[in-house]
Amino acid sequence: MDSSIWVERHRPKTFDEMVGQKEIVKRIKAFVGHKNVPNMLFAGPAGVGKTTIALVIARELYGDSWRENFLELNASDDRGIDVVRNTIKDFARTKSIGDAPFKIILLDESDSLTRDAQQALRRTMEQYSNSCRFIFSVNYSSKIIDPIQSRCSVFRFRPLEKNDVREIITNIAKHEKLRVEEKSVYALFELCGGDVRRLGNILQSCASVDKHITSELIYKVASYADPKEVRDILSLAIKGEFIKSRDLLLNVMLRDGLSGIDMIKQIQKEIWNLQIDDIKKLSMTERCGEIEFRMVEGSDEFLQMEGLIASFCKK
Amino acid sequence: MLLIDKYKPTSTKEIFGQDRAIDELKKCIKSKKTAILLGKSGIGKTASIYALANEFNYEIVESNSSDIRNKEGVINFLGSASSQGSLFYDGKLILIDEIEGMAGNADKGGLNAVTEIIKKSNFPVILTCNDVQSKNFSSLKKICKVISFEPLSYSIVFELLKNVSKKEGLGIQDDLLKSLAIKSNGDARAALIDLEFFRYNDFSDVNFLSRDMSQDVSQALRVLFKSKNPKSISEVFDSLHEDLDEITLWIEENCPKEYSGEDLASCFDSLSKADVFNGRIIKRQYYRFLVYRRILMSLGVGLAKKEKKLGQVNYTRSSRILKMWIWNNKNLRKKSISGKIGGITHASLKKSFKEFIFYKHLLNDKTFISELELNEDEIEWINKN
Repeated sequence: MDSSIWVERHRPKTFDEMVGQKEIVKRIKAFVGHKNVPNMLFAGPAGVGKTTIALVIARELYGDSWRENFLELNASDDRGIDVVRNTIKDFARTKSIGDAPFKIILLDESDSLTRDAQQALRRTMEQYSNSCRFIFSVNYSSKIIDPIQSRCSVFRFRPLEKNDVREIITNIAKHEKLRVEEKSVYALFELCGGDVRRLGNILQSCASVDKHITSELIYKVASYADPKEVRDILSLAIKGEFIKSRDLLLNVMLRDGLSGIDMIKQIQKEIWNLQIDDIKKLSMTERCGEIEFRMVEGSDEFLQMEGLIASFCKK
Repeated sequence: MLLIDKYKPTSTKEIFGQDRAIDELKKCIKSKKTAILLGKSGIGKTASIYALANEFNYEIVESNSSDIRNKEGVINFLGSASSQGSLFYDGKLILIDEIEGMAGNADKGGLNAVTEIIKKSNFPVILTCNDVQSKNFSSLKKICKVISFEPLSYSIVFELLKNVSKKEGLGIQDDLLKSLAIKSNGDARAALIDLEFFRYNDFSDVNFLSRDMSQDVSQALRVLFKSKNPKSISEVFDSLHEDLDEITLWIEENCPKEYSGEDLASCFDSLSKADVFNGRIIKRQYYRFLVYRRILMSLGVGLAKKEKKLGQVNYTRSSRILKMWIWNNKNLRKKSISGKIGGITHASLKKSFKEFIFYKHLLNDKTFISELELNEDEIEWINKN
């Protein structure tokens, strides 16, 4: 059955359907052709095909029984050491089904695997190297400890280019009977960069309003995902109303499940819409950069956000 | 009589938040099927069984972890009970409580004996188990109907406490009851036992919990925010038992009441730098950084003010953790739906949660709902939102 979600419905199922990442596809196709793939690390931004190619590998290797030989774990949701010790080991230690020489474990969003879990994995990878291959997918390869990186072939995925994005849009439009203006292609590219998941979701949401996709519609729909309160948080802070500003900030973050980094991105954009001196905007932006840096190094994202708005409070 | 006994439910109407599980259990007992009740402790598993037995006028033969439950023990105790009828009641129930308590060596062969009894028994056999994860009982799960008891939400525990407190005339403030409810972590029994403490003590007009923990802390905060003396500021945390994480929350909550403008910015700048050192400690396990964290949190915060501060300020405990809890509860269904969307789109729960708005228009679509295999609670949530 076709999924109701377009991103799923139009996800490539073979190497030939993949758009972009030509070099990577070529090399992996060769591995699969020889029925032998190494442990792999896929690094790159969101929505450029890391998970998709892993699923394609499984389909090409195992045919219809791919689900039995393929374990997909999302490390953002199950990231503790227990998962490594139980789920992964249980799957890895049994033999593959059919004539496949090994099973595959995909650890999606491995950035969020704890260090302990990663340490526990390096042994598991070696112990079951006969029966199992690992694919790690990450945004930043630096989050993966060296001993694991050294056991993997590393593939760096690039953001999709405008022509790739255009091809994907044309493809979806043909199947879903959409009318997409040229200006809309630019709008989608500007809003999503090369993130195809975002792109598919925005397109589908637009289509639920109107099959004629205009750039105005796209901008409107895309803005749904941005919290409306960012401007209020900022203006409260500038007025010196620290407590109100921080309470609103905390509520928005908890309500929408936003991280400190998500929030600082929004704030940094919104600063330029404020009615204040440009020099002040510049210094506020620099402050955002400093706090984002501290957030990466530090331990408490919300405390760092408070530091940011407190610095906006001072006159 | 303890509150926990005094307010023990006598009918299923008095058990909150487990309606569906109780319905399933009722069906099992009526059809003489074996059931295993899974769920954390103190959320009403055993209480539901007793309440139902009461409603049906059934006798309960109970074996719990205080009994010897090796092979002989189980057969001696339950074997005969499972075949003989009840003299004074309309029926009989065999209850094997806290089954996870019998996996050990001392109860060798016990589990197998239980399996035998389930197969032979003329009466419904009900088992309870706290340890949802445990694999030891997978063989039992195959021959039993598994009924899950969900953890109680904080608001249900709160309602329960409020109810009891009102009936007992304890006159405890809602805030305190809320804290107790949160502390209980969904365990109604623990919450009632905590409430016991307030029964014979008169705390009607003081917020006991915050007084208890803030006596030393508010003294320390006073020095930190008011004093200009570097020596007393730098020693301010020495007398406290709280760790620096806890103290951070205290400062974070209360500094905006004392400082404003430049002072506040400089205070938070120090807290932010202290947090960077904490992050480095966690990542590198290099504990000497503690020195810097501590100094930034004491002198950094204390010397942030340009002038000495006068006046009396009422310090309060941080509400951040409470808010996290409340939002987590509010977002429960949205999260579980996001998890299912993530499942079919190969994305994490977190990611689907953030993109939820783009899937929302699909949630009115019947085929999409069946693709996601949403349960009743989730569908109800969608209809409400």
